[in-house]
Amino acid sequence: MIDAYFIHLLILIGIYLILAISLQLSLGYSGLLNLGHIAFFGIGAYVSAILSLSGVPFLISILVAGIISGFFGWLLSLPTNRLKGDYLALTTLGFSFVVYAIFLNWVEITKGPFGLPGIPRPNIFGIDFSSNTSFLILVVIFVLISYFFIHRICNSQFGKALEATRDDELAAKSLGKHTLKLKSISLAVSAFFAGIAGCLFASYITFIDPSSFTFMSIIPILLIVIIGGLASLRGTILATIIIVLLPEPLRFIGLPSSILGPIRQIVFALMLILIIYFKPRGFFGKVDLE
Amino acid sequence: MLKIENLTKKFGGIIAVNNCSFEIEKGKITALIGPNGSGKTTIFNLISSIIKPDQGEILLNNQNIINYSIDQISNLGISRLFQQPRLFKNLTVRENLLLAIDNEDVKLWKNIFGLNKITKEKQGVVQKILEDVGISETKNKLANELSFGQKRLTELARTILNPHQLLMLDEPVGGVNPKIKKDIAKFLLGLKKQEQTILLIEHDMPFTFNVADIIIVINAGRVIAKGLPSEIKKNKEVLEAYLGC
Repeated sequence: MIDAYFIHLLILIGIYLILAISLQLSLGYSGLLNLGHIAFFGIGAYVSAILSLSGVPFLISILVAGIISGFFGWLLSLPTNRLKGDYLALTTLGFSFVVYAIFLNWVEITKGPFGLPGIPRPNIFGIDFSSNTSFLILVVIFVLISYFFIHRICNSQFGKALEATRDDELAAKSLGKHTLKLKSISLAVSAFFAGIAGCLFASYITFIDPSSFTFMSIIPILLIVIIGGLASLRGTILATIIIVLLPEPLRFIGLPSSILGPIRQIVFALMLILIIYFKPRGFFGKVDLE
Repeated sequence: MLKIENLTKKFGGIIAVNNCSFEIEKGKITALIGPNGSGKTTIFNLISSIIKPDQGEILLNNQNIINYSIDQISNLGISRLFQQPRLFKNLTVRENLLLAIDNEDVKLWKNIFGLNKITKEKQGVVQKILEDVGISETKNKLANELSFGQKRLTELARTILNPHQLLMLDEPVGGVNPKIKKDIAKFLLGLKKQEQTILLIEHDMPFTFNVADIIIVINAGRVIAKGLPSEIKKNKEVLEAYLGC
């Protein structure tokens, strides 16, 4: 029993970690206050669920889910590339509302509020991942792949060019950097990995509906990035573990679920206030919150 | 090399640059001087394409560059030092300089697969320029940890590392101490020996008259005089408009 619960938590940590490090790429390294990240997570989840339910193999589903999410990330970058700060945050937040509305209202494809049940667990080259233990192994593999690529990007000269754009876009342009292209690539790659996380989420839960992808769902992910520290991948790992585990003891107090949800939100809010007050750069942040 | 023809820029009712024309020669240091608000930095912003002119042309080697973007202007070989420090504050001095060497860093796949390495040659170029401007000890410091003078020198080094045929320096010695001012003057005279083409804005007259080959005086957005430093010193209109005597 304890083992199953522990494995469940590790799977959640893995999925949240992919989501958070991909947000770290666009927010922490590129300085794009992207509040629409959860929409890419949702797009990945729905695309892979629809494909898997149609019998498409898992590896193709997850790749297509990532590519379509990445495409929407690139598409979103086109009108938002010239926006900064609050304006960018509002536009990306608006995008997540639009995507949520599509999940809810495009009933023929998404089944609207009823959601998509019966999403199959992965089966790759005859290896079955239907048990939670085997699924955890799959999640670990995808975490390692995602971390490898994002770490590689952030620590390469490409990552430095992203950081330069974040620090001073005009100066970066004056050195000949095509900053709009840099930001588009960053948002597309970030969305690609959010789509991968969405696919893993859908195949783990085996049921998705629009309520998993409301704009409120961005709050814990944003919290992970801020608490871990902007432009810090190791901070993101630590913060993901803390944010996933922190509200768990509340389950054992025996409170009704109608109270448990709001208490969890209060815990997150308190955590955010304490971090901003006592450690404004988060655990290992390189950049100030501005 | 660079030719400005009938350039005009208005901000509302204010004419910042008024039918301004001048030409700068290859291999010379040309200084733009004039009172505050005379339009010198606006001319720099027009050449860098940060703002677009209302009329007129900017020709680089006979090519009109009016419709180019800021990054395209840089890639044509116009490298600019801004009036205010614009370093990438969360990157080290070394990282700031490496970004100026080339634009291979914007290629995602090349960087993911480790094909854009920081070669010994690149490291050597960075080390040399840092030694030339005298701040090699700051190499691994974050830009926002530097003093004002060190920031200015780092930015000057970054502007020079950016591949260029024309350097535009907006007040390179503004706000720095006399020692650094002397170092920058020595450094610019070294660039002059290498026949680099430099367009300079500076309010420090002894510094400007020391380094410049040609001086262009701007007042109310127009060129009121152009000549050798010795000629400008004696020009009555310049003395009246700028030096107030």
